[in-house]
Amino acid sequence: MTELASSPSIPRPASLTWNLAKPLRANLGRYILLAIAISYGVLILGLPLAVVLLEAFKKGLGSYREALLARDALGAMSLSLLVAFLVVPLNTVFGLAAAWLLGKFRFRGRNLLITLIDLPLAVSPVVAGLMFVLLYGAQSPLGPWLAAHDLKIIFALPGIWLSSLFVTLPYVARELLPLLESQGTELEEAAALLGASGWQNFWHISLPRMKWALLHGIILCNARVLGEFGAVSVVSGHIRGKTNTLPLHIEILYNEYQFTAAFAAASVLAFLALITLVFKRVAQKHHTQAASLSA
Amino acid sequence: MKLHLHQIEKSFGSSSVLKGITASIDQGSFITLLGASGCGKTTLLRILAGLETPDRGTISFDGQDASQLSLQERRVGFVFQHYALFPHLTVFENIVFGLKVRATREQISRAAMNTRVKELLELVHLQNFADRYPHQLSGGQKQRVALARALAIHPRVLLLDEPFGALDTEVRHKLREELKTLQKTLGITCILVTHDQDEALALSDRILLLREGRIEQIGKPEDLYLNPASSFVMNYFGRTNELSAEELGFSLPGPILVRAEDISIDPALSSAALARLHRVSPRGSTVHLELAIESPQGERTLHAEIPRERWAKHPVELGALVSWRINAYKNFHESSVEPSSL
Repeated sequence: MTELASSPSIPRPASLTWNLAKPLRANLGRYILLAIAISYGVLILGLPLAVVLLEAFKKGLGSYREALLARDALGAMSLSLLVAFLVVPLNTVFGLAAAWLLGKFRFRGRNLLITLIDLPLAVSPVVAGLMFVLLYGAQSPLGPWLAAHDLKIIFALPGIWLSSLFVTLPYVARELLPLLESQGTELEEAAALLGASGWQNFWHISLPRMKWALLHGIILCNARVLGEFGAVSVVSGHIRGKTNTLPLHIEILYNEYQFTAAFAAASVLAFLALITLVFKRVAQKHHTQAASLSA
Repeated sequence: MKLHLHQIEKSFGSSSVLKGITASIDQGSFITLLGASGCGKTTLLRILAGLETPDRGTISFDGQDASQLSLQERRVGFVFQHYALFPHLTVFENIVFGLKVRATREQISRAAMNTRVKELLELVHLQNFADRYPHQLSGGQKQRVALARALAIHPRVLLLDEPFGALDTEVRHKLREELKTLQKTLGITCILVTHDQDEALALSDRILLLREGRIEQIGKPEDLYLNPASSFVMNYFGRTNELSAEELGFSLPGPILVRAEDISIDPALSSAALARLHRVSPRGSTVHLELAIESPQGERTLHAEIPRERWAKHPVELGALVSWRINAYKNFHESSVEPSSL
């Protein structure tokens, strides 16, 4: 039967009705699946986004601008950008180093390290925030010492930075690891035999072959830092204009029934997400192209 | 460069891959490491390259202990089975890579690099392909680029790991010839890994036949063919029949080994040993025959290989009886066989 299905042009009376019915049924199934996918997408993804934009612009462009240019809103945005600026490069370097080590070498404890890298994905962000409060907060063993030296971690930028680092740690490493594992080490061996030093090997051979995957990982990491709510919410202390990141600022506005302002700020995150998606799409396209070329 | 290996041993985990390899390789010679998969030939090549370290034993490059040399200092050219070209670099950039990364240390000027690459592109007949990327090349062209890239750094020895394994027959034969010519012109020492005995016979000055991590025999190709040190060596170079000496009336201990091409076939004579023709398969210049012979242990198969012309003159019908003769044989039971080494 499978042979018939793949060659419907064979004229056989017995299978004629079956052959006619098959494309129709196949198409019907396809349309149903498509309809489900589209309506799901519209309901879960499209409508909420539309509502955010509608609400944001409900009272006109003037109040939208006003809401975004408010002192606290600007403060929240710049804090979010600052945190991203402090977190993304570090996690990029860490992710590169970890993926390189795990992807190109076999050693004892390798699986343990892979599990550790996945830990932030498994732990609820709120719990992650709490861990830092327990570690550096006023009640912690470290608390009095920190207070004595006038070092503020919790309810200050360092706390936000630390919890953001924790939450977004896996993204770059996770993106690179499967690629590096599948690439193997033959090209690095070839380069080393030709006389390349370790650094030359990394810079001229390994890095160019993973640059799109790396970019992809950086984009995801950045998006996660900007959008992180749970962990940051626990450690920030919600001090307006000081320790409020953009997502926290949105929550405060919403709780104060300032819907237009809340949605205006939310639209900024939504736009950032859309830009991220475009970048991600480009990176992914090059990534798959590069992968198919080197194969 | 003169290479000397002394008692090289290597294990991966609990499996011992090399069990004491000792050999000398002369400057400018072409050596083949021949053997079935898993015999340790690739591991030995990787140890020579410096990609693996032996557990025991020493390698010397012109009398110098190789373990003291970094990969850069070893200066070996290595050609991989699957080319290992850098996919994001052009043919030119691939070939110049080894010179570029050494440029500062060895004071190679840009002009010198360009001249060298141009020279190599001509050598491998790829003058017009300098700006292509590896994915725009055929398998044969890729392997030529890999060869040029390995030669760019003026290697002291050229190591090739089944370099023709991924190519089709025609390209394989052409590249084989080219490599042989190139090796003689440049006078470079070459060590090739292969499992293909034809390739080994066609290319090598010497063959080093490996079996389960040990050297079974080292010698010139014709030595291994004409004077095999063991039944294993004999079996490796063509189809061999193992016959009982007693049944054939030889007063020798153990079985005797007869190559398929050392058996000749004649029209059936009642006074000679008879066999029934079972199957005929033409193999180009020769014809391969499968004959059934009666023995006290029941019916056995005898393989014979005869020139095509001879078969064309005296064809025999399937199932017919023929008489057969042994022209040459080996018996490895007379003296205990020791793997010879240099």
